[in-house]
Amino acid sequence: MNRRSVLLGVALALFALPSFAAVCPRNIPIGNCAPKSGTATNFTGDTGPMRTRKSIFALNATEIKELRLAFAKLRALPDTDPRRWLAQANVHCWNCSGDSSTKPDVHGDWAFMPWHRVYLYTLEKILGELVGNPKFALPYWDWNTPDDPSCTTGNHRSIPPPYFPQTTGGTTTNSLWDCYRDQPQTSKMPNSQVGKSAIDFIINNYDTFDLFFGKANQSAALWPGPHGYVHVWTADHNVDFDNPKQDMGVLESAARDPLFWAHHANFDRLWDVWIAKYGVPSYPQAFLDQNWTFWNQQNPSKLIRMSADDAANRATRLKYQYAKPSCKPEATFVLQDLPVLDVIDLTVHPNTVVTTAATAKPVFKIREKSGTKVVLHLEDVTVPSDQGAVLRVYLNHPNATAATSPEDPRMIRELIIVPSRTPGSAHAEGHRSHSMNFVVVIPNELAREVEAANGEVPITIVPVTGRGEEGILEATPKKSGVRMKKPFISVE
Amino acid sequence: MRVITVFLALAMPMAACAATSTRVELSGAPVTVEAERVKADAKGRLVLHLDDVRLSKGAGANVRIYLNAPKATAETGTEHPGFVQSLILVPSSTTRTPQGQNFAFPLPPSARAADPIVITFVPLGRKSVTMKRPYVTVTE
Repeated sequence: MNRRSVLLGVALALFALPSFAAVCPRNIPIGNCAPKSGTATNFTGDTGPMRTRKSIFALNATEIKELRLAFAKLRALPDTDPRRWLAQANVHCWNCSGDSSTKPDVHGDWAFMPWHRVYLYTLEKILGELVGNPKFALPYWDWNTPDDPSCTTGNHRSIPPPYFPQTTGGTTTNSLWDCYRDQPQTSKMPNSQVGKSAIDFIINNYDTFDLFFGKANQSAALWPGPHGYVHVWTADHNVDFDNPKQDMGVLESAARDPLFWAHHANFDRLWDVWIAKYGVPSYPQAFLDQNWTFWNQQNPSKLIRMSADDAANRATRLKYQYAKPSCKPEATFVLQDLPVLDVIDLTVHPNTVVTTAATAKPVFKIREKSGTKVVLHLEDVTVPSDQGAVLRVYLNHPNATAATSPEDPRMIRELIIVPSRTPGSAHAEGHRSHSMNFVVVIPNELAREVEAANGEVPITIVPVTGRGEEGILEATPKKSGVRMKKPFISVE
Repeated sequence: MRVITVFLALAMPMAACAATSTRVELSGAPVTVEAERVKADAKGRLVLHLDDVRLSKGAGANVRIYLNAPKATAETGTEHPGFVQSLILVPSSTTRTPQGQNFAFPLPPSARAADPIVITFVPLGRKSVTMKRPYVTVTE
């Protein structure tokens, strides 16, 4: 192969890469958002499995990777496909009077909640189809969840980390990025505008159907407040309502930003929060009869007609639910494909395993001044439900035992798992706890060893239990039953 | 501060209100108005109505609404006891004439004792926001 053919190969490879300029040029005009015409068939209800929407801050590395893949595939669909990214964004434009549409605007009245619910549903199904996962679920950006001092990373009122940076791994475009945003990752929305109290006020005071969902000629409670602030703030650090900025800052272009979907999933979740407080309302028939058309997930896509009745029956008609918000961000930024991790059963004796590096080696560098951290991930940890566990985690210390002092500088974490059921109680036998994910930030002095080993470093997990009347944790337990995925390391 | 005070009879029927209302315009400076009471004798919670809210073409709105706080300004925070809600609307660049929107904001219990009910709007932008004169009803 000569030099010219190498250069040609490089050029072709670059051309084949998803170019950011191709998906987010500086000025996509607003307008021409009318969808293709067609005859819609009535939506007959989702027949797939139940999907669970989680807080964006609770997604694990695999879920973030799948989310990015889904949006990458959405952006890569051909222009002729009505499921593609811009066509889906234009569905929002068309329903907010964009392009001089004659359709009623779905924002200023009781269409706001159900229309956005079924809109999110259709995109979620398209994304799930594109990644071949019928359980794929959109995340929600719970900017109203208070930051907890025990949380080590992330701010709920900042743009969630998976939506940064523009590229991942050097050349790969982050499909969740939008070049029209005007906020660095460090920016944080004011608590007074979008914090817990702002949403609690609405949930606690808008206690009737009319007040919360609105009327045919009256706005829903969630339309005029924090919703708009998040939109405009995302697109403009000056939060200037007089001079709007696309994408998120203007209704017609807002859904072009992948963040739109996570933002609106949070509002959709608040519908459930309201019902949890007041019960299912008696929806007026005129409310339920509202209906709109969308493109479904099939290829070729078909127009379907969905109604507010579908939206009101979320669990049975749309087949998804919401997981509660997590205060502890567990997001990781995997820069290379993570292999399928083996599940390991811990013995009662010290268990030493070598971690997998989840970060591409060329960038596996610790930059202390920039705040980069090396993080150990212990995922899908379960124990028999009638059993607890105390696990001491050591780095590069294969000789650690139950007698090793917890003051040892190589012990990086002690995990204490409390039993969830009484031994011998009904339903205890054979059940395991919910799986738990733990992240352990490795101290800088030990992180250097991880760096030197390219992320493949021995981790020793020592089960311990109490000894003697004082209950000092230095004995070997008689049974283990702890199961987890093989640990992996990332740099964040 | 610009103050618009509108004195109308209490307990005016809604239809009459719509027929005789004076429009309120917000464009930078705080504006204080008296909200008309409709069905004032009924028991229940008071709800402030802002009807036919219209934005300038291409602009959004960020207006803080206060109850009985006529001195409120842009520096008055949302922690102020008279703070009711923010009216925050996402801009739209549509070329179509914007339609008016109606909003309903529950008022705190202290509003029941207030007579008159004074509402102060503090716009945080300069472009015009207009609406019909606010009125207050009672939820059943």
